[in-house]
Amino acid sequence: MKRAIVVIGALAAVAHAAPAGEARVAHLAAALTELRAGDPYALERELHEAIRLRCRTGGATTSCMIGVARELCGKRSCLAAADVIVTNQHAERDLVDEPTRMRLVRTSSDYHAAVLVELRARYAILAAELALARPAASLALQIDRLCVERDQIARRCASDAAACLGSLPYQRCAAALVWFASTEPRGANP
Amino acid sequence: MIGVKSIALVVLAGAAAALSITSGALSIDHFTEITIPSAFAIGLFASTAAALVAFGARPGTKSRAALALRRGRPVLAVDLPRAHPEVRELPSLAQRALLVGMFACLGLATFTTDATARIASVPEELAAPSRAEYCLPDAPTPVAAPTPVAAPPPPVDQAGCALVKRAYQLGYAKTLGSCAPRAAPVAPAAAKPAAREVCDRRELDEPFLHYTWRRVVETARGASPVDAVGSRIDELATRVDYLEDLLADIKHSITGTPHGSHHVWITLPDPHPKSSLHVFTGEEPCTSTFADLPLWPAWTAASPPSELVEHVFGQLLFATRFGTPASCSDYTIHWDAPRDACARLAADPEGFLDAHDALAPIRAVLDRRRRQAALRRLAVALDHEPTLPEPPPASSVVSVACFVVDPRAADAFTGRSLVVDGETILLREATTRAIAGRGAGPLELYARLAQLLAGSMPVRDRTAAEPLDSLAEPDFPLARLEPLAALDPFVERDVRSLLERPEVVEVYPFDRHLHAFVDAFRRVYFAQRGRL
Repeated sequence: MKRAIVVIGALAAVAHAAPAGEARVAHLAAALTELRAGDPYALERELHEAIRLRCRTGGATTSCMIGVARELCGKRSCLAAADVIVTNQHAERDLVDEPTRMRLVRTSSDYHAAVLVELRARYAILAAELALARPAASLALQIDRLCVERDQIARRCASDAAACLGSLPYQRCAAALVWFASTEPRGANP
Repeated sequence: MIGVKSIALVVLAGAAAALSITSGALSIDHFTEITIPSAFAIGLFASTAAALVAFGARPGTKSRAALALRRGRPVLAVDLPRAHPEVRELPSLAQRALLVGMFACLGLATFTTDATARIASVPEELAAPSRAEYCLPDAPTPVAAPTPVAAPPPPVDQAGCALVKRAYQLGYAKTLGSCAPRAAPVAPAAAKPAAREVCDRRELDEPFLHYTWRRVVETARGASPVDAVGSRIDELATRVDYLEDLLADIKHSITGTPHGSHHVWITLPDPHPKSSLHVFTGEEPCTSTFADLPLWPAWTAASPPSELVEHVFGQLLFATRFGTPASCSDYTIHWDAPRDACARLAADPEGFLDAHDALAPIRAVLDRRRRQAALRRLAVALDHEPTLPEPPPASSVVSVACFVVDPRAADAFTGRSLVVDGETILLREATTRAIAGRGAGPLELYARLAQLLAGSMPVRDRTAAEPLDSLAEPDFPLARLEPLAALDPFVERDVRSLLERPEVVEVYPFDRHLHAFVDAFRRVYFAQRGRL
């Protein structure tokens, strides 16, 4: 049943996408569906723990993270959701600056949960941009279009501008928005 | 019912008395220490303050609010008639006495002997002449402590006197004679006279008019009218010598002569060919052409090369997303240039520039630069601080370049210098075989144009990026893109093959890489350029 929903969602989104972005939109639609169908925070925690255990030598590379995620999903249909989670985890250091991470280490009993809350605040800025973007046939298509076009226009943030996200690579923008759109907010110390 | 006025007076007087007793102001010792000025101040304060408060409180009139006891509980009655018979107040004299007593208590606590002496000395201090205005006598130097008398120096041993001293000690001789002990002479320390300032301020007993007259005479003493007029004439003559420069500078400011003039001849057709409508609509200003340039347009094999060149030129010089841009009004692109433009330019600079409407703006800029230098010399001649900055070299404000696209020629880059109006300017020429919109074509064009404009580019270090997984795999398409954030295609030639795939180009994180490239270019280029 779950697989059927994924396929239908993906097909619906792809039907309205441009040929070059068909695969991307289908993937985003699948990720949205998978994350909404399961418990995204549980999967995220599971992946985080597994990656922390197995990919920490010399920093987690994407190839190692992908390998861990692939193993963890196994026969479950969670590859698209895991892709979003892995991308977000890999981008974490770029999105949350060093002083903020140090503050979270000092003030939080659960650092990872606190980082997720901090990241969510940044995703919310992107989500606001998405809400203001021109509508599309599906959420996945709208996310894809926004993230492809976002860096084309000049985007400069003042150093003290809290509600501004500068340039963002496509995959980080898309993963952030998919996560934000398919999960409910959670406190730093659940 | 008891009027609130009486109650308030009793409470306040009681509180003042309690405070005075607590602070010792009502003690016998305090009373014995009070001086006559203090007692006078306390009395004056108490009577004046009591009179003022009594004037407002009107002790002879009953309060309109009163405190009553009803069934054993206090009740406040308000808005009573003015002469309510049940309201009872203290007699007027008693109220006044309480007021005087209350303020006397306060006065006793505040007007101590020291405080009264300080208050009394205020007018005297205010009226004392200040040292900034008057010549005051030197403050008496404190009596120097008696310097301790130095102990007499030890007797000087004289040669050959040992036997005489011994005979004297044993009683064989009555006197020491010439061997008598002599003290070493001590040179008296010369007293250093204290330096004294010559005071030209007003003397204490000097009338104001005399002081004013003295100041006027002192001011006019050193100035000779003849000298003053002479110096004015000299200044005027110096300004007349520079009159042409002054007028030319004003003309440049009014007519808006460019602050720089840089010309690039490109052998490609104009991407915005002029139509007959230009006569009516005018040319699009360069600020509009280069405003909001997209980061990395979706170039294809069919994209016109001149559009690509114009875009890259704009990104390198005028895009504000990469920081401070150049002023596009200082730059002119001459499209449809002949293949041998630079050769002709080198052979006959002024003729070629004039034929392409480039000589006049270049001459204007060079002239503006000369005038700016002349005005600095004028300021020096007048002993003034120059307000204009030192003009940059001519080669910084004027330059010429050629960009040749020739499929039959090899890629090349040359540089030489030209002389226009006696000033040396730079001429650079870059030749490229083709311009491709696909793959690494735009990257090559960025590098080629950067070299043409800046001469050379700093070698940038390779990025220490993690290995790139195959992007062709179907799973984890987002995570597989992550290493691209650190893989700069301007530096890492290995990743350039990825740019052959439009779907990768669409999502490649060009922003940070292009930012790094343009930033490095501008650091080199702007160091060579200046504006008047």
